[in-house]
Amino acid sequence: MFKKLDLPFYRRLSQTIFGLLLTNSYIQVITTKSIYSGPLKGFCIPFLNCHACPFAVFSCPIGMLQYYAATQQLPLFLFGFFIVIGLIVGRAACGWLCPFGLIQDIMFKIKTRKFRIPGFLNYGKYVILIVFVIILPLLTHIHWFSRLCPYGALIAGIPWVLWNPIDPDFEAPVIDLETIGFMYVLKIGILVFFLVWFIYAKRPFCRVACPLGAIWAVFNKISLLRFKVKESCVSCQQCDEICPMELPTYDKVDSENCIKCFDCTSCKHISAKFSIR
Amino acid sequence: MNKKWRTIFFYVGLTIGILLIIAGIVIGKDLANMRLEGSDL
Repeated sequence: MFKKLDLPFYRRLSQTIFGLLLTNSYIQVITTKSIYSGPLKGFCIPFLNCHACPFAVFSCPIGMLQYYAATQQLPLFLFGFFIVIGLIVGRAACGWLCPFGLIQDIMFKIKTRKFRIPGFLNYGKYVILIVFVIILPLLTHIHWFSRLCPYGALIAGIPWVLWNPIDPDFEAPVIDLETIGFMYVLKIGILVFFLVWFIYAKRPFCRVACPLGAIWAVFNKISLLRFKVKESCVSCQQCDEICPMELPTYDKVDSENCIKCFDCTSCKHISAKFSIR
Repeated sequence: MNKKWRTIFFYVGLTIGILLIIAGIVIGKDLANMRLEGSDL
C-alpha cells in the first residue's frame, strides 16, 4: 500500500494545503479586522488550529473541549466526533494534516546534534489533557490550555499583537496592549522553548504535550487504519530511524504514539491495512 | 489486543460515537454553541 509514492512529499503537501492553507483561508480579515464567526466556525477540525488565528475558518477541537469544560456543558457532538474519527484513522491527522507537526518536521531537519526524548515524558500529554483542558477549566471557568498553547501563540497571539489594527466599529485598536501581561509572556516563553526543542528532538510537542494527540492515541490500537509487521522482519531498526516519532514499529506496532504517517512502510517488512480485524 | 475484543470495541465505539453526534445535533444544539470567540490570545 502506497509503496511507490514519495510519501514524505505528499505528507508535506497535505499538511500545507489542508492543514495550513484551507483551514486558515479567511483573507477578508484584512478588511473586516475581526476573526471569522460564521457557520463554519461551528465545526472543528481533527488537528490543532487556533480558532483565534486571524485567518482561521474552523474551530480547534481542544479549544472547544475546554470551552465546554469551562461552561460546564456536555459536548455530545464533540465526543462523537472524537470517537468516530479516532476509530477510523487513529492519530493519522497528526501525521497528515497538523500544521504544527509540519513545523516540527521541518525544524528537525536543521543539522545539529540530536537527542532522544525519554519515554516517561510521553505521559505528559495525558496530564496536560486532564489538568489544563478539562479539570482546571471546569473548576475555574478559564481556558487554561488556550492561554498557554504555543501554537496558539504562534498563529494567533503574536500576529494579532503585531498587527493590532484599528477596529472599524469602535475606532480603537483591536488589542488593548495594556492588557497583555504575565500569561502572554509565559505563552511566548513556552513557544520559544518548544521551537528550540524542535531542532534537537523529533516532534517533542506531539509526544509530550499535545492534548489532542492524547485523545487520538487512545484509539490507535483499535482504529481501522493500522500496521502489520511481517514475520520475516529481522529487527533491523530501519523503521525506528525513519519514524518521526522515534517508534520501534518492529517491536511496538500501532503504538499510542504512532501518527500513521506510513514512513515505516518504506521497509518491505511493514505494511498498512485498513480493516477491523 | 486480540481480534475479538478489537472488533467488539470498534463496533460498540462506533455506535456510541454516531449516537453522540446525532444527539449533539438534535438535542444539544452543539453546533450553535461551538461558535467561539477569539478571546484566548
